[in-house]
Amino acid sequence: MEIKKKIKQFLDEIEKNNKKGKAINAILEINKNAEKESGKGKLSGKVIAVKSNINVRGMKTSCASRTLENYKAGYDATVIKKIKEEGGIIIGMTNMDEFASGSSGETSYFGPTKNPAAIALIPGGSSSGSAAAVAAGFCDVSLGSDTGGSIRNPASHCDIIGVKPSYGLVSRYGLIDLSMSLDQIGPFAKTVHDAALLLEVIAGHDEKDSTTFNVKIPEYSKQIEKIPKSIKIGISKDFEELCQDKRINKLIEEAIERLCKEYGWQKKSVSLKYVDLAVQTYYPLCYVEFFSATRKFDGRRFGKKIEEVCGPEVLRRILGGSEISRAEFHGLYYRRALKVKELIKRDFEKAFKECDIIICPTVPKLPHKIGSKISAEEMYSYDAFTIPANLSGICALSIPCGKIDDVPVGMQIMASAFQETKMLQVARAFEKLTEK
Amino acid sequence: MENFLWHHVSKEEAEQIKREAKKIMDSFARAIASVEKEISEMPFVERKEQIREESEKKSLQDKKFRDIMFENAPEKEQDYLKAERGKWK
Repeated sequence: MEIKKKIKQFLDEIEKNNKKGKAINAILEINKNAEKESGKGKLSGKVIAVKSNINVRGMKTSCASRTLENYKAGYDATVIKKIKEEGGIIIGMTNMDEFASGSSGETSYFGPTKNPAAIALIPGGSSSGSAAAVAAGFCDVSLGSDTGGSIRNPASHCDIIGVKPSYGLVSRYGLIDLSMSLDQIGPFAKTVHDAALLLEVIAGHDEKDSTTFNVKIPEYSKQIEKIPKSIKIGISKDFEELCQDKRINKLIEEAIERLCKEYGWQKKSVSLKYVDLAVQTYYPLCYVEFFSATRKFDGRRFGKKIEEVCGPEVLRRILGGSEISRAEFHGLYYRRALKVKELIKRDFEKAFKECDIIICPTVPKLPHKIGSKISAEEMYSYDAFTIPANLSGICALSIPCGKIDDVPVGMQIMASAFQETKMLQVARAFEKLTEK
Repeated sequence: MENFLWHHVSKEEAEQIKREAKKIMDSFARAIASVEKEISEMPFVERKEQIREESEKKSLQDKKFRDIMFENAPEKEQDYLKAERGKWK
């Protein structure tokens, strides 16, 4: 009865503020069977919203696009299967940037999502609805996907926690890909414990996704209560120089000082020489892989032909990807980007020999007002601090760190690949400070 | 400069978007071309299974899956999806 009451409260809140009231527009479709679904397991009693590019059988995997407007998933993604096996209840599908191509939450065919923490401003993207749904109290936790920051960016703007797992930790089977060499599914939550719990459930090797690694998955939700005795926090001047709003740097510096003072941890300066080329490296890879990924949307077996019905940013990526993947440009764009991707990865490997975690801001500037006129390059620059983790395959999360002019600011904690435990322990340690 | 709200793209705007995309990619390519350091060997990830083994087609026996897939199809006739030849071009 308690679970049914909880689901009803969430549904009432969605009814009150999703399309009406505050008009957050985070939820695109409600699971009509949510109130009947319940189960036993680690996620028993947890109500979960899912980004609309992840297959939930019988529900629309629209990717917030007219292309797949009425497309229903015929099967559950592996992460959804795992959630259901552990008693999690799917409440609905969330809004997002169209085909995950965005960093603001504005590009959805179904209208922009609002930021519950700063209502006139963008919630971030592309997992805009998943972040906003948790922030607005529409669900306990949610799932997003992160290719260049699409979980961490909206987590920062919406004042919640968002985790991008190491590449290969979580199965992508059933995720409609943006860029398959970079995409990862991950959790949003209001607490580190809930994020850790959801991650623990969805992580693990999957024979249906050959890019998943066969690693033992720790019980993150229990491990996070152990505060590490000694941690070297890596700080890079390269991030500081790239930060467009210096007040953000100051907030992060203060947070690091608090951590060191409270727990006796140390700071270590590290060099990430190529990190200033992260955006220029990422987008050629993303454009080309997205172009390849969208060839199936030709309107024959399902949906509509993507080029005929998509919005401007999706079209930019398709046309750009088509152009630069032509044989005559062999080596000029994609191969060069692959080279710098590898150099960035090696930068991080070297840095993690000198420190345990790296901390920096999640985003280099505060979110803009919904509907503002900005250039594509300015939009892409939101990802400057998040892209490096995707390029190097490591894990990273964003945790609320304070506010500037009443606008939330997130702090990014990064750890070496498959060191989620360490990353989450540091996040929990910081969360305890902010609880005081 | 534009806002990023969704809108229908006209043919003229599509041409402009194509030019902009190339301009952005060219600018990014110039930036990363400045990296002189070469990598002798691109990394390769050793995996137990490189290619997924396709087992028995369970999806074809899953009636609900079939029903949903046919519901998604723009045009169908009995047990077949219908598609105009070359329509994807």
